[in-house]
Amino acid sequence: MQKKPSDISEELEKLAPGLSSLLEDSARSVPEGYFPRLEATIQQRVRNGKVRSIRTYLYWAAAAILLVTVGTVFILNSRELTAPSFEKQLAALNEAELLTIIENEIDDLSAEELVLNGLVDDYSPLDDTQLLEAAYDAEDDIEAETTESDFFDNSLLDSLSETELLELLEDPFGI
Amino acid sequence: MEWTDDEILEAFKKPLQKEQAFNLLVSRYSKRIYWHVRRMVQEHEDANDLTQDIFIKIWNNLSEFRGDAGLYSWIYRITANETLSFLRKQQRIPVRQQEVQADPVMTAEQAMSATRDSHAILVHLEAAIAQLPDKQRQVFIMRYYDELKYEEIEQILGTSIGALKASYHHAVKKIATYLRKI
Repeated sequence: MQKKPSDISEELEKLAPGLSSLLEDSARSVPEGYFPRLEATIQQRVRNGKVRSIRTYLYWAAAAILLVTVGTVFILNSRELTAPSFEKQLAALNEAELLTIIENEIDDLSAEELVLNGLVDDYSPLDDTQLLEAAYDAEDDIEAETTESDFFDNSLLDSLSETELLELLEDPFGI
Repeated sequence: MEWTDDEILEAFKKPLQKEQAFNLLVSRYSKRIYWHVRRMVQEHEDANDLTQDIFIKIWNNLSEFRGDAGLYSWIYRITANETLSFLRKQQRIPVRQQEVQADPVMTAEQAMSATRDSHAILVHLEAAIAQLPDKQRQVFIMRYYDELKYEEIEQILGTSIGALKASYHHAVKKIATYLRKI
């Protein structure tokens, strides 16, 4: 048996005289050829462990992919559940609310969109001839309105007496 | 030419030399690790399993070793922690201690006579060491059997030298008292 370093032997001798002789006699044993076998076993386990660790990485990668897939499906489903579709939102509105929305939004719609959404019956761009006809029609409407208003004014004048007419001419604003 | 610990560490970082470096490490430290563990857990089979597990842990973590302490201290710290963890899991009283305590009528003279037989010495001594609290036993084994300096034990266990000396003192006294009783 190897001799103990002096500081250790002296320290023990001071603490418990005689104990060192007992401790030095104690020798445990190991099976014959144990340490070379131990080294070989450790090296073998490390080699096997490397294979295991690659497998472990694969398991983790597969688990991660599965988790991401399940998570994405879950998130999409929950969004669908919590956020109703546009059609569902429209269906929930009453008639008055729908009309309010249409009135507010109709100016933003093009003619084609109006037709597509069934808000007007038909739409087709006008050619030059149609435009001219539309302009004449508009002029006639204005004339008709003017005539009507003139007629109304003349009838008023007709109902006045000569004296009243003179007064009106002298002071048209009744001041 | 024998590699230093630093050279082993450098080689371990290179993929082509990693295994060779580790094998050198195993050759250099496996006996010391085994004996430390064996003295702590007593049974050869347990010590064998635990020593293997410790080296697997070293293999898995050596690339993260920063070199703040010496490689030996780092390995020893893993060994100490793994051994204490094993003992905590086992939470067992070593069988040999029970065997010795089963003969309370043996006088001191008879005990000393019995200890003339080397096997009997071993049995009594193992029982005496086994009755120590885990940490105290660890300090005693590191100091007496592994022949570490207090400074080295301080680095491994992170305990002050004063506290280590106190632990060792208590351990020796308890072993002596135990052996005197048998």
